[in-house]
Amino acid sequence: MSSDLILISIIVPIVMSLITITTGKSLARKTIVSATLVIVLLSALAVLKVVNVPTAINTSFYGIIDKLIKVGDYLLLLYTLYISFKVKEPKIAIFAILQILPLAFFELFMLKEQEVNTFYIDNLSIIMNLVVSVVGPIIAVYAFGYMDHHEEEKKLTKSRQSRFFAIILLFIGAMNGIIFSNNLMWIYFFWEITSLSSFLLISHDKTEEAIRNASKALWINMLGGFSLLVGIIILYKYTGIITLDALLKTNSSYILLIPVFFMVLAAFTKAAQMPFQSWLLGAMVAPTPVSALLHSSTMVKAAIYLILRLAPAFRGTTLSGFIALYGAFTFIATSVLALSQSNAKKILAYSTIANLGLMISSIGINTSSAITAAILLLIFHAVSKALLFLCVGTIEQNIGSRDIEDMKGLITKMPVTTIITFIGILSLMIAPFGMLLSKWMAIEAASKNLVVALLLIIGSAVTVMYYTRWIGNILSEGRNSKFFVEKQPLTIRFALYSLVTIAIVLSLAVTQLFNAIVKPEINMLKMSISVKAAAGYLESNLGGFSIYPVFFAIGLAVILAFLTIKNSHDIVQTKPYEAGLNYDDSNNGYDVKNYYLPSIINEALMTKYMNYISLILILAIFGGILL
Amino acid sequence: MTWSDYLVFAAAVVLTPIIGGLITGLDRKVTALIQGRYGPPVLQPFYDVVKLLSKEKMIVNDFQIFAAYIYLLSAILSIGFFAIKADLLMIIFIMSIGLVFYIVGALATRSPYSQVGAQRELMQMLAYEPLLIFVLIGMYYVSGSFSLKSIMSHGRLLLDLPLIFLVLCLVLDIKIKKSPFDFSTSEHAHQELVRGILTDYSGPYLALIEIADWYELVLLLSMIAIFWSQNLIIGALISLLILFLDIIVDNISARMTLKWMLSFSWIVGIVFTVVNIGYLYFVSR
Repeated sequence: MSSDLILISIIVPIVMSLITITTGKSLARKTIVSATLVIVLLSALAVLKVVNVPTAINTSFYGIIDKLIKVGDYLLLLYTLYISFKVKEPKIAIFAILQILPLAFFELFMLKEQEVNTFYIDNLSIIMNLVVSVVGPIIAVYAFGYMDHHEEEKKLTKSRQSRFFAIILLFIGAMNGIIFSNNLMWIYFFWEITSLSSFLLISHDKTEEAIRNASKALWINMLGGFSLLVGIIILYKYTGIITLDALLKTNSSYILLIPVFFMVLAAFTKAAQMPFQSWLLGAMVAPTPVSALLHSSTMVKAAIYLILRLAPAFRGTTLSGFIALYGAFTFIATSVLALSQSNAKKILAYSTIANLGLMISSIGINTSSAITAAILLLIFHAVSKALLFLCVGTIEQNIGSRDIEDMKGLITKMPVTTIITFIGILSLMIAPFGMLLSKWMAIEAASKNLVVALLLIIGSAVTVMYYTRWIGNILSEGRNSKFFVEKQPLTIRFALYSLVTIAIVLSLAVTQLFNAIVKPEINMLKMSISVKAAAGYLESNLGGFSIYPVFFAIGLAVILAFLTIKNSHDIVQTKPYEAGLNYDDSNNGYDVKNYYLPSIINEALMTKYMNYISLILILAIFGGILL
Repeated sequence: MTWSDYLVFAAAVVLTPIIGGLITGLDRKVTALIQGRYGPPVLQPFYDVVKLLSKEKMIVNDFQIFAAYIYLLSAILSIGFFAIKADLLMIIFIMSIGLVFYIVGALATRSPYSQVGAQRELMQMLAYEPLLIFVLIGMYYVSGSFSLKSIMSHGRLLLDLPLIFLVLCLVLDIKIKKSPFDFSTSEHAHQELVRGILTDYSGPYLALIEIADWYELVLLLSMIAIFWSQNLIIGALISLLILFLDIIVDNISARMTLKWMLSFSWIVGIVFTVVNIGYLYFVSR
């Protein structure tokens, strides 16, 4: 039963993607895609309900799937070789060959065939599965409305949506494959599929820039795939371990750390940590649902999943400490870079990389409250970031710009979207929303490590600055502004409303969320539970956070403001003060630009130096193993 | 929370604005004396607030009302949590909710004066927020906890954290916007006509912000006072002394630039924190 459910969540989207690509009719395609999404969602909910965790499950299909994957590996790599010639990017070919040769050698001469458990499931898999299967489909539904508009805008004569939705389904299936597979070689295969899918999605528009950025994404991720493969081969050579359940049973020892390093490095590339960040920034050229997907529920989250999986293997080692430092460095560096940006998508991209750095840093700290913080960050980030990307996409299609300076007065043009964006940003940056609660936990957990703590603290303060001014811009309005009633396609409205609801409900129910799925995972990792949660109060051994009073205060402020506006008839609407100059509502001449601190932060120059520093840190991580 | 906790919470919420208003009144008096003026009566801030509350409600847009309320409520909430000795890091995070809305409220009006003021307030926040958390990290290194209860049980933090104490004094100076850090509003000592971030807040909503400022002033002074929690009267005297020094600095220095503030505060904050914690680690243990 459970194994069938999991097979469904992997195989159904992949098979349906093959059907979708051949379906030209819009309505038929939408039906097929929606049906698949519903199946994925239902199977995720069923897994949550049915499967007792942790568990390793067998299926009778193991042999067939294993053979398919073995063949699939080579097909995939040969296809990337073909891509390499097509887009004229030799780096892709280099990393493809670098994988084919060791892979063939490994499978022909080293790997002894053995029947292993097919799937490994614990609470972490379930959390990831929910993130992929709830947020992913919502984004896909949003894409229905978005892509129609997008193709009108690009004046395409022949729709390319079949290909687009097919890849999205493939992507979701491959994510579930990474999450549930027990065999490390399977994880490697699905890992490579996600790299390929992201290439195909980023290059969707076929512009020169899109293809260039997509090939960059592909070669950087192929580098990661190579690193993952090397890690698995070394691990197998010295320990004979090829499955996740066996890896989780071993205690950390000297010989294990070298393969772990290579696998963590693979995760760094996929999580776009410095100096690999450029691929995720380049991915912004893709249609917005793609960015939302890459940044929230798929791709980068696979990296966090892998590091979380490996965390027990490096607990208490120097490697762990260096990973914490490295993550914290990426967090602060990309936060500062985000400060210099006015392009909303770029702000979101940098903030994703920063938040992934925060998660990696927490995993590196590796105490039970730090791991808790990382898992909570993963969940809340997926929801809020997906929401914000979709908001920016909606705004961009309406006002034709993604610059936050151009979003001044947005509240009058798109009141509904603006308020949802506003809540989305709040849910990423202020208490009592889940992100900040997790950040609170991360900072308290990091406080033993002074350098990491200082980096996280400064980074957080910077985050508040770039998000606050963005809110300020979208909410700014003049006197007697006319509010337009906003028309949104149904699919877009559905996506935005459901994500904003999930963001709020999850924050309100953070204690239940913790007790239901995060705590059992920490228990399973055999760590002492230092975090307790009940009735909106999260308590660690260093302090405690109470969320309900804060929600109450915000609610009270809303009510008070509402009553004031409604009951007092003596409110005088006045003009903004302009020292006696005539105020003109349509006039933007007196508008003040935000401070982007160009004299302090030069993006290109800073990126260069930050890349050097992060490279040194990675070398230090490697050196740390030998210590 | 027990019943006594609720009582303490309520008492703090009621008493704080009275103390905060009185301190502000004294501040104005002292400033006037330094400047060779007679100055307003000590109760002047209360007269001001009462007058503002009864004034006509003039707003540029509705969001300002919400912003003013939430700034006040988050200040009230943080002082209440402080009184019942909760987690200090949580208190700082709650305090910053109000500030975010206060700034957004100003950004939401299209006056260039408000906008520039708000941008400057953001820079001030960027300068002092991390420092405030550095201070908590220092307290954590001494007491092993972020909860105010454990921190206060230590007694004389000042002796262990002298440099971090200075960092907190710097935070106070930036936070209450005294020269050389009075960028976002020019506080009363300078009596400028246009008051930056406050330009478009008026009448009752300006009053709410004034009251919220009193709460935040008392919160910061209390944080200074707990450096001598063994005897809180001494602690209170220390914090008033620091405020007095701030007033003097305010009157003898001119406004500096934002860039200077940012680099000065971060360098002082980081160096002092690291040196102080290093000192704890190597010398006193």
